[in-house]
Amino acid sequence: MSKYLELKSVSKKYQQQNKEELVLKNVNFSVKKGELAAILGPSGCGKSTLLKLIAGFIKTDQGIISKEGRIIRGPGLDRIMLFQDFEQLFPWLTVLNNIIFALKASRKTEKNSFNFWPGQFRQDLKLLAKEYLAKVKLSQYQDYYPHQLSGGMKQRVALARTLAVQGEIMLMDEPFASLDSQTRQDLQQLLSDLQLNNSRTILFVTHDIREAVFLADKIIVLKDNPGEVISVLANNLPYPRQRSSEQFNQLSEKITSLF
Amino acid sequence: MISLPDKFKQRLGWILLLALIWQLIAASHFFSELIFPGLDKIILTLFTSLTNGNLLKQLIFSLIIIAQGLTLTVILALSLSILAYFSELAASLLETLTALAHPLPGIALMPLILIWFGAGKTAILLVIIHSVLWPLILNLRAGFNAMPSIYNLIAQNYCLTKLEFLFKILFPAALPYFISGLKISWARSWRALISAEMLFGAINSLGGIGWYIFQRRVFFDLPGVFAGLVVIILIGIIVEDFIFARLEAKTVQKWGMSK
Repeated sequence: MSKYLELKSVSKKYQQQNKEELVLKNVNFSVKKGELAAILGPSGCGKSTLLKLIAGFIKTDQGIISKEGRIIRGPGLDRIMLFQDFEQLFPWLTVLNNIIFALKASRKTEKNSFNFWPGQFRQDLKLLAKEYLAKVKLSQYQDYYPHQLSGGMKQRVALARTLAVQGEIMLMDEPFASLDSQTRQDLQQLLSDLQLNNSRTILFVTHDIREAVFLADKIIVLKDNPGEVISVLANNLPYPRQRSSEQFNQLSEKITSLF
Repeated sequence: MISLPDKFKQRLGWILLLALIWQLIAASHFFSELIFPGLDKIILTLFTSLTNGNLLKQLIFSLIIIAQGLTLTVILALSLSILAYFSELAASLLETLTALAHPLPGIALMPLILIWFGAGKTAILLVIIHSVLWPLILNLRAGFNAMPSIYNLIAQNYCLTKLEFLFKILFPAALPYFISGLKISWARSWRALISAEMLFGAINSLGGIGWYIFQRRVFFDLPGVFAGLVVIILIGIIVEDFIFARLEAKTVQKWGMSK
Protein backbone atom coordinates (compact mmCIF):
# COMPACT_ATOMS: atom_id res chain seq x y z
CA MET A 1 0.00 0.00 0.00
CA SER A 2 2.96 2.34 -0.04
CA LYS A 3 2.08 3.64 -3.47
CA TYR A 4 -1.61 4.35 -3.27
CA LEU A 5 -1.72 7.34 -5.55
CA GLU A 6 1.16 7.58 -7.93
CA LEU A 7 2.28 10.11 -10.54
CA LYS A 8 4.93 8.98 -13.00
CA SER A 9 6.75 11.53 -15.22
CA VAL A 10 3.63 13.61 -15.67
CA SER A 11 3.84 16.54 -18.08
CA LYS A 12 1.16 18.96 -19.17
CA LYS A 13 1.22 21.68 -21.81
CA TYR A 14 -1.28 24.44 -22.45
CA GLN A 15 -1.85 26.04 -25.82
CA GLN A 16 -1.51 29.78 -25.58
CA GLN A 17 -1.96 31.74 -28.80
CA ASN A 18 0.06 29.57 -31.17
CA LYS A 19 2.73 28.77 -28.62
CA GLU A 20 2.82 25.92 -26.19
CA GLU A 21 3.50 26.53 -22.57
CA LEU A 22 4.85 23.76 -20.43
CA VAL A 23 2.96 23.90 -17.15
CA LEU A 24 4.14 20.70 -15.52
CA LYS A 25 7.39 18.98 -16.35
CA ASN A 26 8.19 15.43 -15.39
CA VAL A 27 6.32 15.36 -12.10
CA ASN A 28 6.89 12.26 -9.98
CA PHE A 29 5.54 11.56 -6.53
CA SER A 30 3.39 9.14 -4.66
CA VAL A 31 1.02 9.47 -1.76
CA LYS A 32 0.20 6.79 0.79
CA LYS A 33 -3.30 5.83 1.75
CA GLY A 34 -4.53 8.01 4.60
CA GLU A 35 -1.85 10.60 4.09
CA LEU A 36 -2.46 14.33 3.97
CA ALA A 37 -0.07 15.59 1.31
CA ALA A 38 0.35 19.31 0.73
CA ILE A 39 1.28 20.44 -2.75
CA LEU A 40 3.12 23.66 -2.09
CA GLY A 41 4.33 26.20 -4.60
CA PRO A 42 4.11 29.78 -5.84
CA SER A 43 1.13 30.84 -7.92
CA GLY A 44 1.46 29.72 -11.52
CA CYS A 45 3.54 26.64 -10.71
CA GLY A 46 0.80 24.37 -12.05
CA LYS A 47 -0.32 23.01 -8.71
CA SER A 48 -4.00 23.52 -9.53
CA THR A 49 -3.41 21.89 -12.90
CA LEU A 50 -1.90 18.97 -11.05
CA LEU A 51 -5.05 18.60 -8.98
CA LYS A 52 -7.26 18.81 -12.07
CA LEU A 53 -5.20 16.05 -13.67
CA ILE A 54 -5.67 13.82 -10.63
CA ALA A 55 -9.39 14.69 -10.53
CA GLY A 56 -9.54 13.59 -14.17
CA PHE A 57 -10.94 16.89 -15.45
CA ILE A 58 -8.04 17.16 -17.90
CA LYS A 59 -5.62 14.67 -19.42
CA THR A 60 -1.86 14.41 -19.14
CA ASP A 61 0.30 14.97 -22.21
CA GLN A 62 2.88 12.55 -20.92
CA GLY A 63 3.15 10.23 -17.99
CA ILE A 64 0.54 8.39 -16.02
CA ILE A 65 -1.45 8.90 -12.86
CA SER A 66 -2.65 5.80 -11.12
CA LYS A 67 -4.61 4.90 -8.04
CA GLU A 68 -3.95 1.47 -6.55
CA GLY A 69 -2.23 0.51 -9.76
CA ARG A 70 -5.14 1.51 -11.99
CA ILE A 71 -4.67 4.39 -14.37
CA ILE A 72 -6.98 7.36 -13.83
CA ARG A 73 -8.81 8.19 -17.04
CA GLY A 74 -11.59 10.52 -15.99
CA PRO A 75 -13.46 12.13 -13.13
CA GLY A 76 -14.93 9.94 -10.41
CA LEU A 77 -16.63 10.08 -7.06
CA ASP A 78 -13.60 8.41 -5.49
CA ARG A 79 -11.66 11.67 -5.97
CA ILE A 80 -13.77 14.57 -4.85
CA MET A 81 -12.69 18.17 -5.27
CA LEU A 82 -13.02 21.06 -2.84
CA PHE A 83 -12.54 24.37 -4.62
CA GLN A 84 -11.33 27.76 -3.51
CA ASP A 85 -14.29 29.47 -5.17
CA PHE A 86 -17.16 30.42 -2.84
CA GLU A 87 -19.45 29.87 -5.84
CA GLN A 88 -19.07 26.12 -5.56
CA LEU A 89 -22.21 25.90 -3.42
CA PHE A 90 -25.51 26.02 -5.30
CA PRO A 91 -27.28 29.25 -4.31
CA TRP A 92 -30.73 27.76 -4.96
CA LEU A 93 -30.26 25.01 -2.37
CA THR A 94 -30.21 25.48 1.38
CA VAL A 95 -27.09 24.53 3.26
CA LEU A 96 -28.58 21.16 4.14
CA ASN A 97 -29.80 20.51 0.61
CA ASN A 98 -26.37 21.30 -0.78
CA ILE A 99 -25.03 18.45 1.31
CA ILE A 100 -27.95 16.19 0.39
CA PHE A 101 -27.11 16.87 -3.25
CA ALA A 102 -23.71 15.28 -2.68
CA LEU A 103 -25.19 12.39 -0.70
CA LYS A 104 -27.64 11.60 -3.49
CA ALA A 105 -24.99 11.87 -6.18
CA SER A 106 -22.65 9.53 -4.36
CA ARG A 107 -25.31 6.99 -3.47
CA LYS A 108 -26.75 6.82 -6.92
CA THR A 109 -26.93 3.39 -8.43
CA GLU A 110 -28.18 2.56 -11.87
CA LYS A 111 -31.44 1.26 -10.50
CA ASN A 112 -31.99 4.08 -8.10
CA SER A 113 -32.25 7.16 -10.24
CA PHE A 114 -31.15 10.50 -8.88
CA ASN A 115 -34.60 12.02 -8.72
CA PHE A 116 -36.79 9.39 -7.18
CA TRP A 117 -36.18 8.30 -3.63
CA PRO A 118 -38.41 6.50 -1.22
CA GLY A 119 -39.53 8.65 1.72
CA GLN A 120 -37.58 6.70 4.30
CA PHE A 121 -34.43 7.08 2.28
CA ARG A 122 -34.95 10.84 2.16
CA GLN A 123 -35.18 10.93 5.94
CA ASP A 124 -31.99 8.92 6.23
CA LEU A 125 -30.21 11.26 3.88
CA LYS A 126 -31.38 14.25 5.87
CA LEU A 127 -30.08 12.78 9.11
CA LEU A 128 -26.79 11.92 7.47
CA ALA A 129 -26.47 15.43 6.03
CA LYS A 130 -27.10 16.88 9.49
CA GLU A 131 -24.25 14.77 10.86
CA TYR A 132 -21.87 16.19 8.29
CA LEU A 133 -23.08 19.70 9.00
CA ALA A 134 -22.45 19.11 12.70
CA LYS A 135 -18.88 18.11 11.88
CA VAL A 136 -18.21 21.54 10.46
CA LYS A 137 -20.10 23.16 13.37
CA LEU A 138 -22.85 24.75 11.32
CA SER A 139 -25.90 22.81 12.51
CA GLN A 140 -27.90 25.92 13.30
CA TYR A 141 -27.48 27.17 9.73
CA GLN A 142 -29.01 24.20 7.95
CA ASP A 143 -31.90 26.16 6.44
CA TYR A 144 -29.86 29.16 5.36
CA TYR A 145 -29.10 29.84 1.74
CA PRO A 146 -25.44 30.22 0.74
CA HIS A 147 -25.74 33.95 0.05
CA GLN A 148 -26.64 34.47 3.71
CA LEU A 149 -23.34 32.98 4.87
CA SER A 150 -19.87 34.45 5.24
CA GLY A 151 -17.01 33.19 3.10
CA GLY A 152 -15.66 31.04 5.91
CA MET A 153 -19.05 29.46 6.53
CA LYS A 154 -19.50 28.76 2.82
CA GLN A 155 -16.19 26.93 2.77
CA ARG A 156 -17.24 24.94 5.82
CA VAL A 157 -20.42 23.86 4.04
CA ALA A 158 -18.40 23.02 0.95
CA LEU A 159 -16.08 20.95 3.14
CA ALA A 160 -19.08 19.13 4.62
CA ARG A 161 -20.43 18.51 1.13
CA THR A 162 -17.10 17.10 0.02
CA LEU A 163 -16.92 14.89 3.11
CA ALA A 164 -20.46 13.65 2.49
CA VAL A 165 -19.46 12.05 -0.80
CA GLN A 166 -17.13 9.77 1.14
CA GLY A 167 -14.65 9.67 -1.68
CA GLU A 168 -11.42 7.96 -0.74
CA ILE A 169 -9.39 10.89 -1.96
CA MET A 170 -10.15 14.53 -1.27
CA LEU A 171 -8.58 17.07 -3.55
CA MET A 172 -8.44 20.50 -1.97
CA ASP A 173 -7.55 23.38 -4.24
CA GLU A 174 -6.50 26.20 -1.90
CA PRO A 175 -9.88 26.02 -0.16
CA PHE A 176 -8.98 28.58 2.49
CA ALA A 177 -6.94 31.01 0.38
CA SER A 178 -9.72 33.58 -0.04
CA LEU A 179 -10.42 33.86 3.68
CA ASP A 180 -9.09 36.34 6.18
CA SER A 181 -6.23 35.01 8.27
CA GLN A 182 -8.23 34.38 11.45
CA THR A 183 -10.95 32.44 9.61
CA ARG A 184 -8.28 30.59 7.65
CA GLN A 185 -6.63 29.44 10.88
CA ASP A 186 -10.02 28.38 12.28
CA LEU A 187 -10.66 26.25 9.22
CA GLN A 188 -7.17 24.78 9.28
CA GLN A 189 -7.80 23.82 12.90
CA LEU A 190 -11.17 22.32 11.96
CA LEU A 191 -9.66 20.27 9.17
CA SER A 192 -6.92 19.10 11.49
CA ASP A 193 -9.41 18.24 14.25
CA LEU A 194 -11.51 16.16 11.86
CA GLN A 195 -8.61 13.70 11.77
CA LEU A 196 -9.58 12.58 8.35
CA ASN A 197 -6.27 10.89 7.78
CA ASN A 198 -7.65 7.66 9.18
CA SER A 199 -10.20 7.25 6.44
CA ARG A 200 -9.26 9.65 3.68
CA THR A 201 -6.31 10.54 1.59
CA ILE A 202 -6.01 14.26 1.08
CA LEU A 203 -4.12 16.31 -1.46
CA PHE A 204 -4.08 19.88 -0.30
CA VAL A 205 -2.86 22.52 -2.71
CA THR A 206 -1.56 25.72 -1.13
CA HIS A 207 0.92 28.54 -1.59
CA ASP A 208 1.04 29.12 2.16
CA ILE A 209 4.08 27.43 3.70
CA ARG A 210 2.78 27.62 7.26
CA GLU A 211 -0.55 26.15 6.20
CA ALA A 212 1.28 23.21 4.65
CA VAL A 213 3.40 22.71 7.78
CA PHE A 214 0.35 22.90 10.01
CA LEU A 215 -1.74 20.39 8.07
CA ALA A 216 0.37 18.00 6.08
CA ASP A 217 2.09 14.70 6.73
CA LYS A 218 4.02 15.12 3.53
CA ILE A 219 4.91 18.32 1.70
CA ILE A 220 5.54 18.22 -2.03
CA VAL A 221 7.31 21.42 -3.03
CA LEU A 222 6.96 22.72 -6.59
CA LYS A 223 8.77 25.50 -8.41
CA ASP A 224 7.28 27.46 -11.30
CA ASN A 225 8.11 27.93 -15.00
CA PRO A 226 7.73 25.06 -15.64
CA GLY A 227 6.19 23.36 -12.65
CA GLU A 228 8.59 20.77 -11.27
CA VAL A 229 8.86 18.95 -7.97
CA ILE A 230 11.93 20.27 -6.20
CA SER A 231 11.53 18.49 -2.91
CA VAL A 232 9.34 16.06 -1.02
CA LEU A 233 9.51 16.44 2.74
CA ALA A 234 8.02 14.31 5.47
CA ASN A 235 6.40 16.33 8.23
CA ASN A 236 6.53 14.41 11.48
CA LEU A 237 5.67 17.25 13.84
CA PRO A 238 3.48 15.93 16.65
CA TYR A 239 -0.19 16.87 17.01
CA PRO A 240 -1.61 19.20 18.10
CA ARG A 241 0.74 21.37 16.11
CA GLN A 242 1.72 24.69 17.61
CA ARG A 243 2.38 27.46 15.12
CA SER A 244 4.67 29.16 17.61
CA SER A 245 6.79 26.10 18.39
CA GLU A 246 10.45 26.01 17.46
CA GLN A 247 10.15 22.88 15.34
CA PHE A 248 7.27 24.41 13.44
CA ASN A 249 9.27 27.48 12.59
CA GLN A 250 12.37 25.47 11.74
CA LEU A 251 10.47 23.41 9.18
CA SER A 252 8.86 26.55 7.74
CA GLU A 253 12.27 28.19 7.44
CA LYS A 254 13.68 25.11 5.77
CA ILE A 255 10.96 25.17 3.15
CA THR A 256 11.31 28.92 2.61
CA SER A 257 14.98 28.42 1.83
CA LEU A 258 14.06 25.99 -0.98
CA PHE A 259 12.60 28.77 -3.13
CA MET B 1 -56.33 47.10 7.43
CA ILE B 2 -53.82 45.58 5.08
CA SER B 3 -50.48 47.29 5.31
CA LEU B 4 -49.10 47.94 1.87
CA PRO B 5 -45.41 48.37 1.06
CA ASP B 6 -44.34 51.99 0.54
CA LYS B 7 -43.86 51.42 -3.17
CA PHE B 8 -47.53 50.53 -3.53
CA LYS B 9 -48.70 53.38 -1.34
CA GLN B 10 -46.78 55.82 -3.50
CA ARG B 11 -48.09 54.27 -6.66
CA LEU B 12 -51.63 54.36 -5.38
CA GLY B 13 -51.18 58.03 -4.52
CA TRP B 14 -50.00 58.87 -8.03
CA ILE B 15 -52.84 56.94 -9.61
CA LEU B 16 -55.41 58.80 -7.49
CA LEU B 17 -53.83 62.13 -8.40
CA LEU B 18 -53.82 61.31 -12.12
CA ALA B 19 -57.42 60.13 -11.91
CA LEU B 20 -58.38 63.37 -10.22
CA ILE B 21 -56.70 65.46 -12.95
CA TRP B 22 -58.42 63.35 -15.57
CA GLN B 23 -61.77 63.84 -13.95
CA LEU B 24 -61.23 67.61 -13.67
CA ILE B 25 -60.37 67.88 -17.35
CA ALA B 26 -63.43 65.82 -18.26
CA ALA B 27 -65.66 67.89 -15.99
CA SER B 28 -64.37 71.18 -17.45
CA HIS B 29 -65.94 70.18 -20.82
CA PHE B 30 -62.89 71.66 -22.52
CA PHE B 31 -63.04 68.63 -24.81
CA SER B 32 -66.23 67.12 -26.07
CA GLU B 33 -67.54 64.42 -23.80
CA LEU B 34 -67.54 62.13 -26.84
CA ILE B 35 -63.76 62.12 -27.12
CA PHE B 36 -62.81 62.69 -23.47
CA PRO B 37 -65.21 60.73 -21.27
CA GLY B 38 -65.11 61.01 -17.51
CA LEU B 39 -63.89 58.20 -15.33
CA ASP B 40 -67.41 57.57 -14.09
CA LYS B 41 -68.52 56.80 -17.64
CA ILE B 42 -65.49 54.62 -18.29
CA ILE B 43 -65.98 52.62 -15.12
CA LEU B 44 -69.70 52.27 -15.77
CA THR B 45 -69.03 51.00 -19.29
CA LEU B 46 -66.39 48.63 -17.97
CA PHE B 47 -68.84 47.29 -15.44
CA THR B 48 -71.69 46.82 -17.91
CA SER B 49 -69.39 45.29 -20.52
CA LEU B 50 -68.14 42.81 -17.96
CA THR B 51 -71.57 41.90 -16.63
CA ASN B 52 -73.89 42.22 -19.59
CA GLY B 53 -71.56 42.25 -22.56
CA ASN B 54 -69.01 39.85 -23.84
CA LEU B 55 -65.90 41.56 -22.45
CA LEU B 56 -65.23 38.85 -19.92
CA LYS B 57 -65.50 36.10 -22.52
CA GLN B 58 -63.34 38.08 -24.90
CA LEU B 59 -60.78 38.63 -22.19
CA ILE B 60 -60.69 34.95 -21.29
CA PHE B 61 -60.39 34.11 -24.96
CA SER B 62 -57.35 36.39 -25.25
CA LEU B 63 -55.73 35.11 -22.08
CA ILE B 64 -56.13 31.51 -23.21
CA ILE B 65 -54.42 32.28 -26.51
CA ILE B 66 -51.59 34.02 -24.66
CA ALA B 67 -51.22 31.10 -22.27
CA GLN B 68 -51.12 28.66 -25.17
CA GLY B 69 -48.67 30.80 -27.10
CA LEU B 70 -46.38 31.28 -24.13
CA THR B 71 -46.43 27.59 -23.20
CA LEU B 72 -45.58 26.54 -26.72
CA THR B 73 -42.86 29.16 -26.98
CA VAL B 74 -41.28 28.26 -23.65
CA ILE B 75 -41.09 24.61 -24.67
CA LEU B 76 -39.69 25.55 -28.07
CA ALA B 77 -37.19 28.06 -26.67
CA LEU B 78 -35.98 25.65 -23.99
CA SER B 79 -35.52 22.82 -26.47
CA LEU B 80 -33.64 24.97 -28.96
CA SER B 81 -31.47 26.60 -26.30
CA ILE B 82 -30.56 23.25 -24.77
CA LEU B 83 -29.75 21.85 -28.19
CA ALA B 84 -27.52 24.86 -28.84
CA TYR B 85 -25.89 24.44 -25.43
CA PHE B 86 -24.71 20.96 -26.25
CA SER B 87 -24.04 21.31 -29.98
CA GLU B 88 -21.92 24.02 -31.57
CA LEU B 89 -23.49 23.36 -34.95
CA ALA B 90 -26.97 23.88 -33.56
CA ALA B 91 -25.72 26.97 -31.75
CA SER B 92 -24.45 28.60 -34.92
CA LEU B 93 -27.68 27.79 -36.75
CA LEU B 94 -29.75 29.19 -33.89
CA GLU B 95 -27.61 32.31 -33.75
CA THR B 96 -28.13 32.88 -37.45
CA LEU B 97 -31.89 32.34 -37.18
CA THR B 98 -32.11 34.68 -34.20
CA ALA B 99 -30.10 37.35 -35.98
CA LEU B 100 -32.43 37.14 -39.00
CA ALA B 101 -35.76 36.85 -37.22
CA HIS B 102 -35.33 38.87 -34.04
CA PRO B 103 -35.34 42.30 -35.74
CA LEU B 104 -38.59 41.51 -37.58
CA PRO B 105 -41.59 43.00 -35.76
CA GLY B 106 -44.45 40.54 -35.51
CA ILE B 107 -46.77 43.00 -37.17
CA ALA B 108 -44.60 43.02 -40.30
CA LEU B 109 -45.23 39.32 -40.69
CA MET B 110 -48.98 39.56 -40.35
CA PRO B 111 -49.85 40.02 -44.05
CA LEU B 112 -47.77 36.98 -44.88
CA ILE B 113 -49.28 34.91 -42.08
CA LEU B 114 -52.73 36.01 -43.21
CA ILE B 115 -52.08 34.68 -46.70
CA TRP B 116 -50.41 31.48 -45.62
CA PHE B 117 -52.58 30.51 -42.67
CA GLY B 118 -55.73 32.61 -42.96
CA ALA B 119 -57.13 34.73 -40.17
CA GLY B 120 -57.56 31.98 -37.63
CA LYS B 121 -56.31 31.19 -34.20
CA THR B 122 -53.21 29.61 -35.74
CA ALA B 123 -52.31 32.96 -37.22
CA ILE B 124 -52.54 34.75 -33.88
CA LEU B 125 -50.55 31.99 -32.18
CA LEU B 126 -47.85 32.26 -34.84
CA VAL B 127 -47.56 36.01 -34.36
CA ILE B 128 -47.26 35.52 -30.60
CA ILE B 129 -44.68 32.77 -30.95
CA HIS B 130 -42.61 34.85 -33.33
CA SER B 131 -42.71 37.88 -31.02
CA VAL B 132 -41.72 35.89 -27.97
CA LEU B 133 -39.47 33.11 -29.16
CA TRP B 134 -36.37 35.09 -30.11
CA PRO B 135 -36.04 37.29 -27.03
CA LEU B 136 -36.67 34.25 -24.86
CA ILE B 137 -33.97 32.28 -26.66
CA LEU B 138 -31.56 35.17 -26.27
CA ASN B 139 -32.24 35.34 -22.54
CA LEU B 140 -32.05 31.61 -22.00
CA ARG B 141 -28.79 31.29 -23.87
CA ALA B 142 -27.35 34.22 -21.94
CA GLY B 143 -28.42 32.45 -18.75
CA PHE B 144 -26.85 29.16 -19.78
CA ASN B 145 -23.63 30.90 -20.74
CA ALA B 146 -23.53 32.85 -17.49
CA MET B 147 -23.50 29.64 -15.44
CA PRO B 148 -20.27 29.58 -13.41
CA SER B 149 -17.86 27.17 -15.08
CA ILE B 150 -17.15 25.58 -11.72
CA TYR B 151 -20.58 23.89 -11.92
CA ASN B 152 -19.34 21.99 -14.95
CA LEU B 153 -16.46 20.61 -12.93
CA ILE B 154 -18.79 19.74 -10.05
CA ALA B 155 -21.16 17.95 -12.44
CA GLN B 156 -18.22 15.95 -13.81
CA ASN B 157 -16.84 15.23 -10.39
CA TYR B 158 -20.18 14.09 -8.99
CA CYS B 159 -20.73 11.97 -12.11
CA LEU B 160 -24.05 13.56 -13.06
CA THR B 161 -25.73 12.46 -16.25
CA LYS B 162 -26.60 15.11 -18.85
CA LEU B 163 -30.22 15.05 -17.72
CA GLU B 164 -29.31 15.48 -14.06
CA PHE B 165 -26.98 18.30 -15.01
CA LEU B 166 -29.84 20.00 -16.88
CA PHE B 167 -32.41 19.79 -14.12
CA LYS B 168 -30.21 19.97 -11.05
CA ILE B 169 -27.75 22.61 -12.18
CA LEU B 170 -28.23 24.34 -15.52
CA PHE B 171 -31.93 25.26 -15.16
CA PRO B 172 -31.78 26.63 -11.63
CA ALA B 173 -28.55 28.46 -12.46
CA ALA B 174 -30.22 30.12 -15.45
CA LEU B 175 -33.50 30.86 -13.66
CA PRO B 176 -32.89 34.62 -13.17
CA TYR B 177 -32.40 34.96 -16.92
CA PHE B 178 -35.37 32.75 -17.63
CA ILE B 179 -37.64 34.86 -15.46
CA SER B 180 -36.54 38.13 -17.03
CA GLY B 181 -37.03 36.46 -20.41
CA LEU B 182 -40.54 35.49 -19.36
CA LYS B 183 -41.30 39.07 -18.35
CA ILE B 184 -40.23 40.34 -21.76
CA SER B 185 -42.19 37.51 -23.35
CA TRP B 186 -45.31 38.36 -21.44
CA ALA B 187 -45.18 42.04 -22.46
CA ARG B 188 -44.46 41.21 -26.08
CA SER B 189 -47.15 38.55 -26.31
CA TRP B 190 -49.78 41.08 -25.22
CA ARG B 191 -48.65 43.48 -27.89
CA ALA B 192 -48.60 40.79 -30.54
CA LEU B 193 -51.99 39.47 -29.52
CA ILE B 194 -53.74 42.81 -29.53
CA SER B 195 -52.35 43.94 -32.83
CA ALA B 196 -53.13 40.56 -34.38
CA GLU B 197 -56.69 40.63 -33.09
CA MET B 198 -57.25 44.09 -34.46
CA LEU B 199 -55.84 43.17 -37.83
CA PHE B 200 -57.44 39.75 -38.19
CA GLY B 201 -60.82 40.69 -36.75
CA ALA B 202 -63.04 38.42 -34.74
CA ILE B 203 -61.69 34.98 -35.43
CA ASN B 204 -64.53 33.28 -33.69
CA SER B 205 -67.88 34.96 -33.24
CA LEU B 206 -66.54 37.03 -30.35
CA GLY B 207 -62.87 37.74 -30.78
CA GLY B 208 -60.64 38.85 -27.97
CA ILE B 209 -59.86 41.98 -26.01
CA GLY B 210 -58.10 43.58 -28.98
CA TRP B 211 -61.17 43.10 -31.09
CA TYR B 212 -63.31 44.54 -28.30
CA ILE B 213 -61.32 47.79 -28.33
CA PHE B 214 -61.36 47.91 -32.12
CA GLN B 215 -65.13 47.46 -32.23
CA ARG B 216 -65.73 50.14 -29.60
CA ARG B 217 -63.82 52.54 -31.86
CA VAL B 218 -66.03 51.62 -34.79
CA PHE B 219 -69.09 52.50 -32.71
CA PHE B 220 -67.33 55.67 -31.50
CA ASP B 221 -67.80 54.36 -27.99
CA LEU B 222 -64.83 56.08 -26.32
CA PRO B 223 -65.73 54.99 -22.78
CA GLY B 224 -65.65 51.43 -24.18
CA VAL B 225 -62.22 51.99 -25.77
CA PHE B 226 -60.91 53.28 -22.45
CA ALA B 227 -62.55 50.41 -20.58
CA GLY B 228 -60.62 48.00 -22.79
CA LEU B 229 -57.39 49.84 -22.05
CA VAL B 230 -58.08 49.80 -18.32
CA VAL B 231 -58.57 46.04 -18.44
CA ILE B 232 -55.22 45.62 -20.17
CA ILE B 233 -53.49 47.87 -17.63
CA LEU B 234 -55.06 46.00 -14.72
CA ILE B 235 -53.99 42.63 -16.07
CA GLY B 236 -50.50 43.98 -16.66
CA ILE B 237 -50.29 45.14 -13.05
CA ILE B 238 -51.64 41.87 -11.70
CA VAL B 239 -49.20 39.78 -13.69
CA GLU B 240 -46.20 42.04 -13.03
CA ASP B 241 -46.74 42.85 -9.37
CA PHE B 242 -48.33 39.66 -8.17
CA ILE B 243 -47.36 36.74 -10.35
CA PHE B 244 -43.84 37.75 -11.38
CA ALA B 245 -43.01 39.57 -8.15
CA ARG B 246 -44.10 36.55 -6.15
CA LEU B 247 -42.25 34.16 -8.40
CA GLU B 248 -39.08 36.19 -7.96
CA ALA B 249 -39.52 36.54 -4.21
CA LYS B 250 -39.88 32.78 -3.87
CA THR B 251 -36.91 31.95 -6.05
CA VAL B 252 -34.13 34.22 -7.22
CA GLN B 253 -34.56 36.81 -4.48
CA LYS B 254 -34.64 34.20 -1.75
CA TRP B 255 -31.55 32.62 -3.26
CA GLY B 256 -29.66 35.89 -3.62
CA MET B 257 -29.52 35.42 -7.37
CA SER B 258 -31.41 38.51 -8.55
CA LYS B 259 -29.67 40.07 -11.49
